[in-house]
Amino acid sequence: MQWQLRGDRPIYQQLVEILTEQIVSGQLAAGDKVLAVRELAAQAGVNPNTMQRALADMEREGLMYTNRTSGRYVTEDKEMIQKIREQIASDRIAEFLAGMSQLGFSEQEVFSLLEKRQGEGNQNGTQK
Amino acid sequence: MLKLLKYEWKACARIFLPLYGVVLLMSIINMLMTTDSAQNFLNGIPSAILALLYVALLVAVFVVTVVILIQRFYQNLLGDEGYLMFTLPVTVAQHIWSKVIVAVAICLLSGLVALLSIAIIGADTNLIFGIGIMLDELGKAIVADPNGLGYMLEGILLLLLSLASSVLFIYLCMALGHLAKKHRVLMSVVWYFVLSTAAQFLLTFVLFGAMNGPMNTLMTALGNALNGVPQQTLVHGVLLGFCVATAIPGAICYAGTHYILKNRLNLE
Amino acid sequence: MEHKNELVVCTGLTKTYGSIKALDNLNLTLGGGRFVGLLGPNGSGKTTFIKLINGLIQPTAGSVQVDGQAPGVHTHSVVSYLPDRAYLNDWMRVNDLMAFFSDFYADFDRVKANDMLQSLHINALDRLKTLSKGTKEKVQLILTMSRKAKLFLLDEPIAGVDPAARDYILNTILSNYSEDAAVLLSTHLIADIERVLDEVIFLKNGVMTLHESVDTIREEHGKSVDMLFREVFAC
Repeated sequence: MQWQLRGDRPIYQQLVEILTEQIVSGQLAAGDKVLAVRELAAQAGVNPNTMQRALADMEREGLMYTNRTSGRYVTEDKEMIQKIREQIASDRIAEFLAGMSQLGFSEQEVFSLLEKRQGEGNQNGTQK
Repeated sequence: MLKLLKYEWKACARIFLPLYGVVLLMSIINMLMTTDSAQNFLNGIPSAILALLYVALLVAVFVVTVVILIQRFYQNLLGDEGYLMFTLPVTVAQHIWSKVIVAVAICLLSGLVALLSIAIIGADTNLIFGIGIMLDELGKAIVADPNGLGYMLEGILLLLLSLASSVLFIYLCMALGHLAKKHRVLMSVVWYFVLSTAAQFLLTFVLFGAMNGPMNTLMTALGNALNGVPQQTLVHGVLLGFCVATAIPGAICYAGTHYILKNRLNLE
Repeated sequence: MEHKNELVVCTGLTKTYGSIKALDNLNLTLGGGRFVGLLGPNGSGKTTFIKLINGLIQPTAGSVQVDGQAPGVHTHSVVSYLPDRAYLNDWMRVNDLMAFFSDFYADFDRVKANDMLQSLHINALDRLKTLSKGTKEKVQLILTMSRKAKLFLLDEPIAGVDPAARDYILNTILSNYSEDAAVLLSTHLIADIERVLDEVIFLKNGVMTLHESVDTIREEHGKSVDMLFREVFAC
């Protein structure tokens, strides 16, 4: 299945975001070997050159590293992964709250809505 | 080059081999119909119709030969198939040669098949014996006079050269027609008439010139010079002269076609 | 990313048909390893450009060089070309065509071609005549992509095939073209292929108006190439 990409931003940036998400969500665990550029590009349905650029970015950020002989791996620095995970979470929450405030909900109202939802047993799970 | 020949041959053989088969079959049927009982059957109408069909078929063979010769060049190189042919890692010269060689071979084959089928129709034991005797005599003549073999080879060479030249002439016309921006087929036909008329004119001019004027004295001088030469050598000379005379226009046509296809190619 | 070599070099390339300029003074260099989209509306000179690279038509002015040479036997041996039309003999079987290609092109990979035929459920014993238009196009594309060429010139390769096959085909192109091979693909279906392209060339009435990498366009304009195209060529 091709990765979902949007039109308004550079493709490599979106690839970086998706790869980062895969790492923080544990789909790609710390220390895992990353697929070869070509395979990964084929999986995502993008150009290998673009994927190469995204992976280079991942390395620059320290989320991946290349071992000269055996290929590319996800970082083993779990602390860093956790930090980025929290960072993304707080970004998402800020985004969510901004959206809610556009609809006219105060932060207080949002909290009570969330509490109410939790009380209902959270049927829809944490699907994303 | 060999591969080009192979595919060119395949493309032509696919049409011609069945056609030849039908021709030979028809001539066998016709031969059987010439027996008395068949002639009398229904006042001989069926046999007459068959004979007519046969003649039509023979004509068809020659028409088809010419048509295919034109079509193979036009469609394969100047039509949509040219997109494939001209992007093969092959030189233009190889393209032209492969087409000419196969075209000449097909012309020869058509001629042979026609002869063979006529021979079948007229065949009775006497005729076959006759041919056998003729071949025998021919063989003896060749053995007796080594020049005979030379004549024969020169004759064959002349035949091949003149076929190749006419094929190349037609190719040149198509290549010239291709230069036009529109109505390329029409222009090819126009070029054909223009060039053949020009060639005719040139020929008459040369022949006419040979009769009188400076050419005349030249010819007489030539005649005097050749007086002492033995007859055999003279015949060889004439035959080879004809070969050269046929090869020259062929070479010109080839050069023209090659130049156009190499430097002026514009596929639509 | 580095340009490994200068695969295609055009200088002042111009082609006129009568008074119409199909291609006007094109100066362009394409490097190896790139996947380039040649974009423009109908009649903007895309096919003319590709035919010039192949030597199927001759430039009115200027020149084009492929792998350091003018179009000829050498360039034909390193360029794999998919024309915008049916160019194969109808009476041949798919098998015969493969034999034909492997006879003439040293870099033709028959095993690969067979694999692709199978994935697209095409019977190699079928005659071309009996195949549908879309299937014929698939066969042509398979033959083109089964070569290990330096440059693939694909003229409207995906226009006539269904979306499912289109995805498969794009993936094959992506996974097939080798590290230093370049692909030049002309199309007006930009949305479908944008994500696989490195760079794009916009042609408008025979003039190159843009030659830029996809991500640079997205960065600079904040919109996809498809949207930019619609703006630039709005009627």
